[in-house]
Amino acid sequence: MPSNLPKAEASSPLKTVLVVDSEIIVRMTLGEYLRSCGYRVIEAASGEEALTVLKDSDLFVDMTLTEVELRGEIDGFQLAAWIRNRRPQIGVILAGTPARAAKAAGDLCEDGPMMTKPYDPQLVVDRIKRLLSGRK
Amino acid sequence: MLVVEDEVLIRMTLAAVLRDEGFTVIEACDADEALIALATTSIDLLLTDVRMGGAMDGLDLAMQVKSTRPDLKIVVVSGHLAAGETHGIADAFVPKPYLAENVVERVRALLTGTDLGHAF
Repeated sequence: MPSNLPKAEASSPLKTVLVVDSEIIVRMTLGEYLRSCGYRVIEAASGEEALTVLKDSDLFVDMTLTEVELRGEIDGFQLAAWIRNRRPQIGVILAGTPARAAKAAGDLCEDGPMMTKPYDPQLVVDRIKRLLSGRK
Repeated sequence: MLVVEDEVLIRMTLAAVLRDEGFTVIEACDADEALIALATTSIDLLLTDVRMGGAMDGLDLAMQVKSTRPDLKIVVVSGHLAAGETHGIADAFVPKPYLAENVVERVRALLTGTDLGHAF
């Protein structure tokens, strides 16, 4: 198991954020951004993938940042409900748009223990918008 | 580099090992996501599983990408194919199950030019 995976038994000061988004551009941008702020990040492309991660007893997740609309059978609301019922110690942030997700990530980074860059959440939003526009 | 794998635990573990080794890693869960990443970001190596959900498998993806990005290094991993069954599209082939460290070695060799470039 690599050292930067969040083992359940480890008492690491680094917080782990599970980023759930079905748009790879959004997911990778938020993931890159949060890693640069000192978080461990696990990326999931669907609610099903997120549940696979959350059910793995070897992994520890502190916070889940999820888009509401996800591909597959499980949407963000259902994922949040599952977490609140089964893993109430995990914080949940629901985001309805890429801009809201970036704002939430920016807020996380402001409180991050190892923030190395004073990222402006607006810059993250702008980068996501630019990348998304490049797909069209 | 871009890691394409539809099993999230395998993908995240391999990506974490590669990040530990200093690589910048983008994760895609299928070929469709991989094509988006390739079109929008700078990627110098594609590492893909063969069997994945979606319309394209890993070999389809590799062949499509190679036709437009012949410079792109391609590593194919598979638990179902043998090295000789990748139609010469891969710069390296790693059978599953694999040790992540072995994948790191192959990736590093390809990106630093120390791999002899034997096509599989």
